[in-house]
Amino acid sequence: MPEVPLQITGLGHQYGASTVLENVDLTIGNGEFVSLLGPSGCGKTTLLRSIAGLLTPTRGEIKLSGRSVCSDGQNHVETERRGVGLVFQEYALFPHMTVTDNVSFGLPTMDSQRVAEVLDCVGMSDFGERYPSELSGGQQQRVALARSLAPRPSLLLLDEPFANIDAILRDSLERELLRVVRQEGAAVLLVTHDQQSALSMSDRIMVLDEHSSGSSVLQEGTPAIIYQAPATESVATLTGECSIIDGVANGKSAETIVGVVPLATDKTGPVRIVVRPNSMRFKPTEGGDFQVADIRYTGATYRLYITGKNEQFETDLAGSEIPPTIGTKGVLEFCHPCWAI
Amino acid sequence: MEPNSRTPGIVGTLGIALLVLVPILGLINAIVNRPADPFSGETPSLEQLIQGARVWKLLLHSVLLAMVVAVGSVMAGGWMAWVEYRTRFKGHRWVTLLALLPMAMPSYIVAASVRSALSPGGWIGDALGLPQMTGGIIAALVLIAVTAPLSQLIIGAALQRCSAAEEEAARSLGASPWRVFTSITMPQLRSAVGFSALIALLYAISDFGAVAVLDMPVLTWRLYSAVEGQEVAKAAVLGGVLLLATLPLFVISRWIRGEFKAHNVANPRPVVPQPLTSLPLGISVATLMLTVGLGLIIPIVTLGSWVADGLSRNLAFVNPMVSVWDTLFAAILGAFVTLAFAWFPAWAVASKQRNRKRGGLLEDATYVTSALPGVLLALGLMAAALQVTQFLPPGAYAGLLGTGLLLMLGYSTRFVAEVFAPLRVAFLSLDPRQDESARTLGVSAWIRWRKVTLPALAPGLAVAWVIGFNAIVKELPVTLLLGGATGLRTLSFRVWDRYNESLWHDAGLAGLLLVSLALGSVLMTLSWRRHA
Repeated sequence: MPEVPLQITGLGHQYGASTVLENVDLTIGNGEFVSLLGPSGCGKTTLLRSIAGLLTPTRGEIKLSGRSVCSDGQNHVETERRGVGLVFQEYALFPHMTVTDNVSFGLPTMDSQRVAEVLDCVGMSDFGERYPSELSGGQQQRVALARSLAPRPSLLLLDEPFANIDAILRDSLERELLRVVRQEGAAVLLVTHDQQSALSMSDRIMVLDEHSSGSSVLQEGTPAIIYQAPATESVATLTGECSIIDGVANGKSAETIVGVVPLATDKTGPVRIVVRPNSMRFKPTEGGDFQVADIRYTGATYRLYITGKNEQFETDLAGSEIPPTIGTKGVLEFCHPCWAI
Repeated sequence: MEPNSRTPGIVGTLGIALLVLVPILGLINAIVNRPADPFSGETPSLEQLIQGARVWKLLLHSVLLAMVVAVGSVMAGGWMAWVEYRTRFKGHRWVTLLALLPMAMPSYIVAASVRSALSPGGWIGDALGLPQMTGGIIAALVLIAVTAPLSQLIIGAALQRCSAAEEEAARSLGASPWRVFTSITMPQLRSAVGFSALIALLYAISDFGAVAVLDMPVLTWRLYSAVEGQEVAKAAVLGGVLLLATLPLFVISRWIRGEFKAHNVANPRPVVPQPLTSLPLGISVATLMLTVGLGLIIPIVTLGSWVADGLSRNLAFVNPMVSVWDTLFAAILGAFVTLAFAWFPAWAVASKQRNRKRGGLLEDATYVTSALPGVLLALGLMAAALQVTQFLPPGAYAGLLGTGLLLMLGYSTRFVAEVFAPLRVAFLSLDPRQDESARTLGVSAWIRWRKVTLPALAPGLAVAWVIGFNAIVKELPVTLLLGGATGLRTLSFRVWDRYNESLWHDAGLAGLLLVSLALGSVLMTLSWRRHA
């Protein structure tokens, strides 16, 4: 059985007296796409740079394809011998080299066939003789991806690769990235603070968050589990918009300030309930306890901002429907069970 | 700044044309209308003059010296730039600042003190049993010591622009540290390395003080001797050859400046500095011994010892304050005049570059002035003044020299490029939206200029002025040839005069005061650089 591309055990790192990572464990299987999701400054990039060998973590061990590359604060294998692909947020293309030269840089010998193959794969076949300064941001990102894939790494590290790209282009690049890495069979670790990218691309998500003793893993699981069954309030807010309200659970429902809320699992006693915008809807009613405080049209939906009983909620309404006006009174109806923590 | 105003371009072009054309036309005129030999009454042919002056040998010496200095300066300065931006150790900031200070030292003071200290009878020469320190090798070392800090600044700025991400990307693709350096870092430094080599080349080929003190027969020194000896025909031919020798450098500088702009990375992430290990530490110490030892410590100690010797022997000192005031007067006024000449070209070129156009001929012509050696420039201005005043009553030439007009024109031509560079950057960094928003608020042009534009320009303006001030304080050939008739006895004039009279105590005191002024202004500029 082949060794897994990446195995991290008990990884920790300190910058001086400040701990940024604490006891992180992570394993990525062959061809698996894992996202590391967390707010800015939580140590995601530190973890990525440790795997790439650009930083020596203070504690823990990193194994690449079964080979220990770093343990107990010692780097055993230099970056250049780790065989991992790395795509940077700022692309980091070599400005004085053409696209072809950039892509062939990591190949032991000039392999025109392989260069043509990866350029074709990212749709940049016609740009081989261009310089990075002659390409748009999206094209540069494609070249950066082709360059890191050219040496056929078993593990590809992506550091916020779409942070500098607009939303429409980002969506198409994400789909393209998934197609290319699946075609190449590389395992991927994506570092991002954008929950949308993480949810839509990953086989598995690991949520990292900062606390007083450094950042650690809050939850790990499939995108659906992470979104629908967050382990903590931090995970709930990091993975998408939600309101969190107090309640007293009694089996499959809970009594709350907004009424009875259906729960996804059996619970008893005091709970914190995660209410996603898609779990409820606003029903205009004369004399209702809630009212529309604001409305935002996003094209596909209207986002309604509802206030009442000292709480705030967000809920969506299909863009094709006629929205209520601001100030409309009404009640909240739950259409899906909510997750209780 | 009005985006479509053509006035700065026209005024700037006229000013630069005056600075470039007057000395060159004066020189060409002196070559074409060479005076007859006072003994034979015949006008010597160019061939006779070239052979008589052994021009080709002098040219070879000048070029060889300049090339050795360029290579040495880039190696020493480049290494220190690497130490400054890629390493960290205790005292790092002070060591790298110290390495930059020799750029405040005038080459003739370094040469004179090094010759005195290292030769037999000197405080180091006696201790180590060294032979007489004159000739090409020591001249090259002196010029490397004073130009290496410039290379450190230029290459350091390029190193700062290199993004860590590119080097990390290369490493992640399997490149060894050496391959990362040669394939990724070095190509991004190439234009800076070329530019610093060019600056060192220009410095060495233009310098005359150090080579004169160290008895190195090169074009500039012989040219100065010919001017001093009133051998006008010989001086004109030597000047013509010197001009031809520097011309190719204009083309190279134009090409390098184009390259320099091409590889800038916006908001680069700096490379994390590494501790200095034993071998690099050894190389750093050797480099510092050359640059700081030769270029700063030996001169200051030697100048101090000359003064101490004069005091111990109760020798009379010339009142140095007269020279201090004369220096301040010449340098302050000269810096303002140079700033005025650089103002409109910088404004016009920045306006063009803001619109993504090349600076064009105006920018090229401004940089051309920096390649005119001081001796050649002074000769050209003197020849032009002679030509103009021959139609005026007798004594007009001496009168013109006495006004200081030629001296100020000489300083401006010599240093307009140095002042232009930071000024252009200052104009370029003006945000036109600030002026536009002030206009929408109904503010008048004068108030906008005073309250919005000038405060934004002020730091760049101050740096440009201090650079001009510092350069004029140290300047020698233009001061000697064009300043003598003004009655100004600047510190550089005094050092040269007293040194050649072997009045070491006076030369030492004037030298120490000059170095203090120059070091003060350099430290001021460097502190602004750190805060920028």
